[in-house]
Amino acid sequence: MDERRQRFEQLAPALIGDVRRFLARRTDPATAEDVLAETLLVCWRRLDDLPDPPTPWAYGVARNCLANAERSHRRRGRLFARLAVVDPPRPIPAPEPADVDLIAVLDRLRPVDAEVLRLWAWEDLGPSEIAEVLQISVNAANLRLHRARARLRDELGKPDQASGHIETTGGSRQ
Amino acid sequence: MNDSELREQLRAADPANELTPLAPDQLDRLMEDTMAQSSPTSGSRWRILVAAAAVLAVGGGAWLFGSLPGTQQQAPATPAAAIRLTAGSAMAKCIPPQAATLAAEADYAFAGTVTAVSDGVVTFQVSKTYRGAPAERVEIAVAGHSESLMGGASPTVGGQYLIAATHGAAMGCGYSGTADTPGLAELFAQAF
Repeated sequence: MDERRQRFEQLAPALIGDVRRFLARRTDPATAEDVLAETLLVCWRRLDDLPDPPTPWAYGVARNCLANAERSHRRRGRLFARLAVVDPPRPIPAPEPADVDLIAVLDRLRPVDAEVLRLWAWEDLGPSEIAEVLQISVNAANLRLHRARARLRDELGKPDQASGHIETTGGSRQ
Repeated sequence: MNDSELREQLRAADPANELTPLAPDQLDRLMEDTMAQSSPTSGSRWRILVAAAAVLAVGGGAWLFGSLPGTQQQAPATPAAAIRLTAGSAMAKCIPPQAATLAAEADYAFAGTVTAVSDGVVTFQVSKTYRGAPAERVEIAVAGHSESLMGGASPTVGGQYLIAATHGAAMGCGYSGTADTPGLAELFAQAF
């Protein structure tokens, strides 16, 4: 048991940092805190199954937990649900997007495209790691990434976009 | 714009750039909280009334809640007349429900209709058992914290519920509720 604890204590700080950022990019601070706790719990319980490095695997868990959290938000206010307010989560400072316009462009993409771009640019993952997070093949990850980048370039090049002032350096669109 | 320029532009817009790191004590607490939940018998938000379990198990001669923990594989061939659960502590901190957690943690789950509410005990007539040994009825002791458990609303006779339990206690936090709670039936369908 002590060995388990030691391993977790060694591994958790970096994992927590990574998963916190992952969640800050995708949800509000309160949900992020809940999903972080849930994700850590899964990592702790399945410590022996954790691959090396564990981060892409943990992102996969966090993604699933987040999807469930978002479903559960629609379920609030019913029997039992008020237990949640007994110990309200401590707020994580809300992130201020550095470039709201680009976030808006991402939001206009199909969710699968936006997600693969977040994993690539923000989580700094390569195709094989993206494949692990999304539980798809490396080939599929490569393909999705390629398509998503093309679609982002297209969006950035659109003259009628709401954000207006984002320009591509290349200029022309297919 | 090449891939690397595109990536740089996206990175500049990363919402996590502004995220402040956790303070060391927050980090420690988070790790401790996580590891404290490892053991099903400690730090659990739900408790089993062990003494009462022993009495009922002997007196009733049936599979009762004393044998609930992790025993879904050991279900007896004959249905028990009644299973008794507790409602647990109201001091639980909820994390959003998910089917995988429900599937992993619930050792008993059923659909039922409330037939009686008295003396801090809610009695359900079981219509379907999702997991665990079949029983005709299930009683949930809510004495002491029924208000918080029930979310301020008392269970009413005739109401239909989906209840999941772990280690002899009903799970709250979105894992149990009225049968028409949005998403709950789907959660059960996914988990069991």
